[in-house]
Amino acid sequence: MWHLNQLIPLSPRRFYHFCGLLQPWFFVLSALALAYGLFAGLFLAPADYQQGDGFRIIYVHVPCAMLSLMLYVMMGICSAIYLIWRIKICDMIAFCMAPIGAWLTLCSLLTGAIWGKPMWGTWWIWDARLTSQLILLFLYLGYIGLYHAMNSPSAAKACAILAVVGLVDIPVIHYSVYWWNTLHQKSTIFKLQPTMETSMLLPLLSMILGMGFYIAGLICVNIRTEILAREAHNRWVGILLRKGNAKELIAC
Amino acid sequence: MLTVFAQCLRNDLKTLIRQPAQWLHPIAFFGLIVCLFGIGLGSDNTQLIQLSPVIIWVAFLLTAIFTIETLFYRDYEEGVLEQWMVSPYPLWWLMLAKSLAFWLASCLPLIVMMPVLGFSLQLTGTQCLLLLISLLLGSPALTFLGVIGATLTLTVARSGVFLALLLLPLFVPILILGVSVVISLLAHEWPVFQMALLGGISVLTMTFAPFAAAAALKVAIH
Amino acid sequence: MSMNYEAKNLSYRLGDSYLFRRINFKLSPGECLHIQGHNGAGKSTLLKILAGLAIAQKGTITWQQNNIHAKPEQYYAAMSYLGHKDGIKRALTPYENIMNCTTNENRCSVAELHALLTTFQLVPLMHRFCYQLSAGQKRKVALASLILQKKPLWILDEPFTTLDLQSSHCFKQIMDQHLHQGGIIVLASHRVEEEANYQHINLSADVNSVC
Repeated sequence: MWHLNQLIPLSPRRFYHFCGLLQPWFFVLSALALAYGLFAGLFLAPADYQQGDGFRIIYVHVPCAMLSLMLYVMMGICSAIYLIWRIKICDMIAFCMAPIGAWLTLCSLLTGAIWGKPMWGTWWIWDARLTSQLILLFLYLGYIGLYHAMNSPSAAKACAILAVVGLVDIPVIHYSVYWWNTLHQKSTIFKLQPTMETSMLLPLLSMILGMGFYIAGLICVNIRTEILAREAHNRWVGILLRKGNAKELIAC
Repeated sequence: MLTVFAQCLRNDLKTLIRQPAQWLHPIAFFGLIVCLFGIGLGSDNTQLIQLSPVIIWVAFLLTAIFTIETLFYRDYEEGVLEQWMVSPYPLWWLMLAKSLAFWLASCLPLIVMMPVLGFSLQLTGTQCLLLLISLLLGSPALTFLGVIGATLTLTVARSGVFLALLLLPLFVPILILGVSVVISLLAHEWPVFQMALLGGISVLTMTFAPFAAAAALKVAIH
Repeated sequence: MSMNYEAKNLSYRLGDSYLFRRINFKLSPGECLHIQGHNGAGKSTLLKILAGLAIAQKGTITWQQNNIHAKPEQYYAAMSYLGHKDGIKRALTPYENIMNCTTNENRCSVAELHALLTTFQLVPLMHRFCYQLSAGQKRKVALASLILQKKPLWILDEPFTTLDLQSSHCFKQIMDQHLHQGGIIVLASHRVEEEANYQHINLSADVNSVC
């Protein structure tokens, strides 16, 4: 009978070193995947018959949108684990994911707007995807704002509750916004070709993977810093700093 | 348990009624927003009819958000929330009583006032009635979600706009459903599905919101 | 069941340092614990932890051999807490506030209510709204609700602030009477003189234990 503690170390100190091991791998894999994705997407994939070369922005927009949603779901799950089993490291993970998720959502909104101008002639349109991305941005900002506004140690639990409530709300938001748009704007819904050509699909998957690994690496960096900051009063942090691993810390 | 519920409800209602500002301000705010829209959109009646359900729902939402901000503040300041936490009765039961008192004292007057504003925005009788029912079905959900938001931001000073930011993602589905009720009627479809869904969401929030609010309250007081 | 109130090894950390460490005490019916310390020593925090409003990082508190967090309803049914804030609704009258705090099981008789209010000189103010009362009068309303709840354990944080001399004296007598009847009191106050029969904890001292 194995315990979760053997698979993923749950104490802050061991998690710090665990992330340190994973971090370089994430960045290397992401560099490889992103390199292929960008090159193939920008140069090798054929132009879309409907939109010409303008469609290539989906290689940035879709990964951003998908990953921002996935990141919020993971944030919600981490918060739920923190609330139920009181594993401190989960709260730290959720806290580190939030700014990254917010930036991703913002990027997806910006790239969505850039995509919209040549496609629909307007910088913004209240369609299902952009609207639900906007609401997701508010969810992220609410979480970050609450964490910083409550300067007490109980901010962690309050924000965890908020994240779980938001997680439950996400399917409702998506469904209702999508339904509302099908009611209103049947003519302006833009759909990608029902089956994408492999040469278009592969770079997209590669970009999604690459960005995913990059985000994982970023989370590792953030969480290592956060662990050091929160556990500063513990002995192992002092020893680590005194050992003179200054280069490692600066790299973080 | 029931006597405690009734007692809590009675106290909160008494407190709210004895402070005229608590129930006059929302009514004035609600009326003001709708009047401003009416003045701005003015003479074009067809456009007004298309927009009036949205205007009323948005005005209702904004009023609810800014009234909820003060829901717990006074009790927190007076120490009453601390006494609730050290009472032998479950906290979620007391939160339920408080939410119901808020709905009765703040939301119900707005809903009663709504037909007057509806007629001023050129809605017909049936449309007003349907909008009224949609508000009746949707406002409990707004109340309970607002209670969660209010308890989470209890210790944050001047939390008005911040609370609006927190509650916006939660209110959007309710807004969409509520507005679609009258829009469907204008398109000559009877909106049974939307109303059922609104009612369902209200019941769902009523079941989990008191517990979430009680948990958030314990976190805030600690 | 005999009422025993015990705390073992309570420690509370704030940020990087401990506010207090290894607080221990044991109280039986009729005993009173007086918590002393300079401003900011952590008296209010300790009382909040005892009331269950905050959680100490280390240590346990037991009431009748049960951990208070394991069976909170049982603990709260026997405990009354008075913090810095009065805990009364200002929009209601003293009479309504006191009636709220006494439930059907513990409802006090009208005679008892009247006697207590006379002691506190609140009878002429009974049907005025609490926001019209002075700070000391509001504090007396809060104390009256606490007393009339008739719970065995009282946790009081600076109960004598804003009270005039006569009311302080009256409340001190009520406290002695409560102890005499087998109640337990935990008290933090600057205004209590050294009593031989009280237990003391001084949070300003380095080593904290019952003396």
